[in-house]
Amino acid sequence: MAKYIAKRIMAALFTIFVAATITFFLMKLVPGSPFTSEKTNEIAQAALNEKYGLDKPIYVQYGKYIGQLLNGDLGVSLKIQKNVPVTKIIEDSFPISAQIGGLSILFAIAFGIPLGCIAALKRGKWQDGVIRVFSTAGIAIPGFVIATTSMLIFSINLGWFPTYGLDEPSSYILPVFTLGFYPMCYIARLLRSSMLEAMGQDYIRTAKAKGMSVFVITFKHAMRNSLIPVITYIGPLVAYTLTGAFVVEKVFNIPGLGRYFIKSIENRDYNMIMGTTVFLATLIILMNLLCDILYKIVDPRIKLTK
Amino acid sequence: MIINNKKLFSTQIEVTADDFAPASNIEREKLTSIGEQTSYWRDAWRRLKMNKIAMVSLVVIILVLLFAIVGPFLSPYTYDQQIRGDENLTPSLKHLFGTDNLGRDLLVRTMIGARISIFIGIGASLLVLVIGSIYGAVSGLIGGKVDSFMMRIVEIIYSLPDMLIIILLRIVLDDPLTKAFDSGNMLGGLQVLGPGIIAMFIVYALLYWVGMARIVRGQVLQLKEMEYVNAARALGSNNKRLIMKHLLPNCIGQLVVTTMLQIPSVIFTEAYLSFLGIGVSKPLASLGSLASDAINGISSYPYRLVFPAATISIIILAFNLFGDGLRDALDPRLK
Repeated sequence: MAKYIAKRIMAALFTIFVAATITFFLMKLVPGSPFTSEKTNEIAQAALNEKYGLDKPIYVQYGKYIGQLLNGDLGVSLKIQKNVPVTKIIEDSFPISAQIGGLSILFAIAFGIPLGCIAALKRGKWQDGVIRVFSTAGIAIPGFVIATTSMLIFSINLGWFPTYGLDEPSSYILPVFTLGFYPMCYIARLLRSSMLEAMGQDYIRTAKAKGMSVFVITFKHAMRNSLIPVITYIGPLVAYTLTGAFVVEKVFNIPGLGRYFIKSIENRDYNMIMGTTVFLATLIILMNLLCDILYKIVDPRIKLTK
Repeated sequence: MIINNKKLFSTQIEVTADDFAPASNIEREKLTSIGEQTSYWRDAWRRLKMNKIAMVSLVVIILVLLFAIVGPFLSPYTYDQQIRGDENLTPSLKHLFGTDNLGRDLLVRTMIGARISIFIGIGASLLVLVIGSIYGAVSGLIGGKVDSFMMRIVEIIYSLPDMLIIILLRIVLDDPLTKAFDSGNMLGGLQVLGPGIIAMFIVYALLYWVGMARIVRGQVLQLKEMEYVNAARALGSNNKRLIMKHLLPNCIGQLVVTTMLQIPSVIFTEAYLSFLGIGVSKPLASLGSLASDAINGISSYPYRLVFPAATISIIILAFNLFGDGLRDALDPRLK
């Protein structure tokens, strides 16, 4: 087990390194220096390039970049908040994104699991049909459609919730709902199929033959095994939530990291784009790692080799 | 042939010369036509026809294709035509989906948007199919160290956060591509597509083939142990011929299904990128960019959002459901 975990950690660290390297070289492909757009003469530009070390050969720059990364330094924003360290912007805005993201993950799990359960238990009945239609539609409708339509209906037409910002508790409802909707439907589908598979297993028949109640069979025997696929989905779920937040924060105008990221894309603030990408990529890879390890701990049937 | 048994349980038979005469045509037909001949595809089509959801989706897909490809030719307007005096109209008989703030007809823009989305979806999926299947087949067939090295690369690409890298690539590719297009002589026929679409294709070609490669490799690992592969090899087939003539055709079901299900996922991603403002280049419209444009005036002009949003949802849903149906039809063992 320890060997497996060590191997996974090494692989994750290597992936983070690859992601950081790709980010660096991609950003270097962009023609011109970040200061070309400023109205300065060539001498001033050269001075700026020297100040930020952009006149050095690329491998020196790369070495410096990796060194800075190891120290947790992501450089400074060049445009959207001039000369403010990227880490500072992340520190300020990420908690907001994390709050929305965390709540929407909770929402997705809290509603997705019961829905999947009901669909599996009532297989072929109308409840199953309704949930299946609903969840199939849910995974086909893009996040921005859900975000904008729910804003149109609930905020603008009905006026139940504010259209932007996070000033009141009620303004959390729509962003969390729209961000959590897709994963909720996905979890419901996942759980339905794994639950149906578990219900067909021999040990469930044995439990039934022993005369156990449906409640115990469902929750104690079938549920435990069917939840394993859901656990493996947590990694991708976090990735979805982080990137899906870009859309939700744009639509609802929430001052989270996603909105800054979109802003920095619109303004071509390369340092900010690079820093945010490395930060989010690291986060996603670490969550995947955690999810992988958790998966092995939860399900002892899985062989550790491979 | 006369069975003339003298004793009980005897199997003695008497044969005459007639028994050795060639069968007449009528007799032959009776013997051979036991069931109607069927092929893999005919079998799959029969199964698909029984699946009501898949058939409805197929009809929807055909309608959407007509809407997207034929529709713009029937419209009196073009997608970038700004009609003076027709700005900000709500849906009416003249403009069924209304117009935007520049006086452009939204019906024809939605049609063009659907066309672009579907075009990107199918084009990128075909790219993924070609790259992924060849990579996977080569890796699986050669095996050994080459295989584990090639799969290590796949693993790394697989564990990278794809959306982030896509966004990054899309931004980075923008400038060089725009320059290449402006210089004119490069890329020839690709010019009409614009840098946005080309960038999307490159992004897919670089990142999204890994899923396909894994599936094909898995199939090839099974197939290559079979006798016919051995026989082909004994007859002198080299690896290229083995892959092209024997291995890939034998996982055709998997290839078709995976490609089919790739299309909605590409359309999904394209819409997402366009919505964030890094999709297709203006004045071209995709469904995502139309929805994105609509957000600013959402309280006064909700119809601008509703039509493209509904169109994209219908397209993705139809392709998803049809892909599911196709999977059940082509490979009943899969579930």
